[in-house]
Amino acid sequence: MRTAKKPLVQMSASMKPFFALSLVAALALPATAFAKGDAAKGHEKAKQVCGACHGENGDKPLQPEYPMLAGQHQDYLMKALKDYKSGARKNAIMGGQAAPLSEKDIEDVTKWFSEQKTSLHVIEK
Amino acid sequence: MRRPSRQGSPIHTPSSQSFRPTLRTAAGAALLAAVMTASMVTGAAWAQSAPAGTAAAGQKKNSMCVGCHGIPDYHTAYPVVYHVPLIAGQSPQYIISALRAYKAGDRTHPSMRGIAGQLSDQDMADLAAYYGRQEGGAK
Repeated sequence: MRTAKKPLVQMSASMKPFFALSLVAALALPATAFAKGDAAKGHEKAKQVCGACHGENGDKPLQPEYPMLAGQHQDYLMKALKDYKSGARKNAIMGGQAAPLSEKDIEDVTKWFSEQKTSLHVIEK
Repeated sequence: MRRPSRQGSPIHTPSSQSFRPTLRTAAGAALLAAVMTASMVTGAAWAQSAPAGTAAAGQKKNSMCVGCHGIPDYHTAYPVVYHVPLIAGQSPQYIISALRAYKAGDRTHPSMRGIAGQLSDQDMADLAAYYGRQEGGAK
């Protein structure tokens, strides 16, 4: 029978900084999980491929049926492009546009668009 | 080879799309121009055929939307986890087009297919008016 008030797991003094560090890393992970990509390279790609229809900043759709990309969540944009590329999401124009994009292109270009100034927002009611 | 920047070039007509530098063949360019022209024509036809929506009516029909799209930074739960997209501030035409694509099965998210499948054209127009950019957008 345990009588002394001893912690169940005894942590040595030398372990404590590592424990603290791993906590910080675990907390930081969700925020950075989708912050992949190189926005500058994405900007170049956006000018070449996406800009004609969405605007190079993703904030000037050529047609009202085309979405605003500026400020949209990066992970959603990545999902959309990957689904266009795989054919899971069907659209005559976007299927062709997404097909030649590499995984890296998709990370870069979505990073660029997600960081642009936007009028997209959340209506909470 | 560095491709020329498109900045400053006219991008207002469908025919100018056929000269975008990413296309490798003239046939591909012609095809894209044809598809885009067709899409613009059907887009215009849609806009005309869609009933007029009102934001006030849309606000009464959005109980299925707010549980996900009304919560900042909300994530999907199934089948893949990612942020639900921001929809307020998109154009009403894009919102209608997205809802129709879910209803038709061209977009596959299971919850959205279920929800859009129950919406009439009038419901979609009303919701689009409510969430569309002229209704409370930052612009």
